[in-house]
Amino acid sequence: MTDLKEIIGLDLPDAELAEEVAAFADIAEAIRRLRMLDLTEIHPVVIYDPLLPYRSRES
Amino acid sequence: MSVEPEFSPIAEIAPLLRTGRLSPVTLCERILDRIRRYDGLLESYVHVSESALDQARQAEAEIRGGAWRGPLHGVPIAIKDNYFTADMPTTAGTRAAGIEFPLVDSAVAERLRAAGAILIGKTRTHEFAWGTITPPTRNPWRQDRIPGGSSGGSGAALAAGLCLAATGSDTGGSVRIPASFCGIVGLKPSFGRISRRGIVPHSWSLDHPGPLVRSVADAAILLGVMAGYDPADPGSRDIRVPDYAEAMDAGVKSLRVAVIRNHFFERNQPAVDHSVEAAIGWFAREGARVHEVRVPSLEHGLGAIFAIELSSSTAYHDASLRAGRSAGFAPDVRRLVQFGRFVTGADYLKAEQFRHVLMNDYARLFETADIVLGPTEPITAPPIGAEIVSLGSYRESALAATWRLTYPYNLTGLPAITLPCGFDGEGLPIGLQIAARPFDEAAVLRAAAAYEKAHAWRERRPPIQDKEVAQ
Repeated sequence: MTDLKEIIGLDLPDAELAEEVAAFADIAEAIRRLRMLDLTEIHPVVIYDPLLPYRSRES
Repeated sequence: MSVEPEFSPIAEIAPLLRTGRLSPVTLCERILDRIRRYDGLLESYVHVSESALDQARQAEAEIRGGAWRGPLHGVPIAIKDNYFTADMPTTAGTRAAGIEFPLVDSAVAERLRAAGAILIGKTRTHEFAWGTITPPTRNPWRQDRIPGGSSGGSGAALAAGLCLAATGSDTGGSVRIPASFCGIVGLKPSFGRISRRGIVPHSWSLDHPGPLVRSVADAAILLGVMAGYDPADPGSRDIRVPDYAEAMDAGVKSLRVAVIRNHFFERNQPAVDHSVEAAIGWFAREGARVHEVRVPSLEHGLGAIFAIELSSSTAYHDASLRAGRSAGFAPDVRRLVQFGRFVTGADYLKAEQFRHVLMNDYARLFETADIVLGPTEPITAPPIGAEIVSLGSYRESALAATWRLTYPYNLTGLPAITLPCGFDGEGLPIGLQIAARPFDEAAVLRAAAAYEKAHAWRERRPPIQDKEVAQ
């Protein structure tokens, strides 16, 4: 539990953390289904733009 | 005066205000009186403006002087409590110590004031817009039911005639869910159409501001005022805002209508399916070209929106988590804010990859369709306190059920409207959802206006009772 708390950065009592993990089960299942997809060739919609701070200065 | 202005669309009230047949002061007094009489029961407002009557007097003087600013001049509009306002405090629904927001106007508040609207008060939001219940607000149609959320205060206030329009914000459905449950119209425009400047962030790439209104024509009016490019919002897009009034009378003949049969019709209450199928039949009879499609990728959408929304919310609240301020959050919201720590970076980026897939699937769908038609909600407003909803033998969390049919349009950023299309056996409203291509709000409004004109759902009123606000 101590390692898990350090990894996720939540300093909760053990019992409360166990409750949180249990309550996360349905969401974890939905995310697990997402992980099953092979999206190797798909670019995420987030696109890095090095010009962004320069554009906002111009406006 | 034979009209009841508090239950009339702005499109019908504006000419009365313009010509002096209705005084903005009288209108404002009527609304304030209704808030006093009914909001003790509904609890839809968290703050009522002390300057509302002064704003109304100013509007009246300007209109009498010939300086009519447009259809919102002198109209009382409520603001969701996650929009900053210069003259009213913003809490974003939280009572946690150490969290404060500035007394400045959000971009939307600025635009509404410039259009002459009276900002009459702040409506309750589920804390940090993170939930679809909005406690302790009650649904005007049945006070043992939730109003939906997170813009539940806006939905309840408008449905009860405690304002003439209200603002909302929609991250997974938070404009459309309360609008559907409260029997009104709610519009989530395209991502980038309305500036988010001065709205407390929930999830940066999913948050959409939008109006909750009494009619589709009012949605066109509010959108015309609220929309526009704002360089201070990184997501804002510099795309021309058309005159939406032009779309109102175009009808649906030859409109190409897609109905997505998977996901949107798999686990709905029978009354919802019945009403939505009747609406689809109406479009076909009116000459729209209705066809059925499938979007199989939607089966992975829930994981994607959870990954993005949870991790974004946790990133926004990270300082509060570390400083212990989140201990003051409501238990359901604190849990959701903490959940983001369980989402990995890879999950988040995979969700953003998936989003590309879903956007492409919708783009393909729109090669042969102008709009998509379906239900807004799989259920009508659930009872207060129900954490699980049952759909036949299937049990689902209230959160997952209430945003299941709305979040696809947050992941894709597409414009989507809800409007009433019927009532269930308990007298609770059912919403019809219409979506279109990015920035084609005109198509959404066109189809919705035609349907609304042919049906009388808007004429029904919720059976609320007096309960004075405690002084």
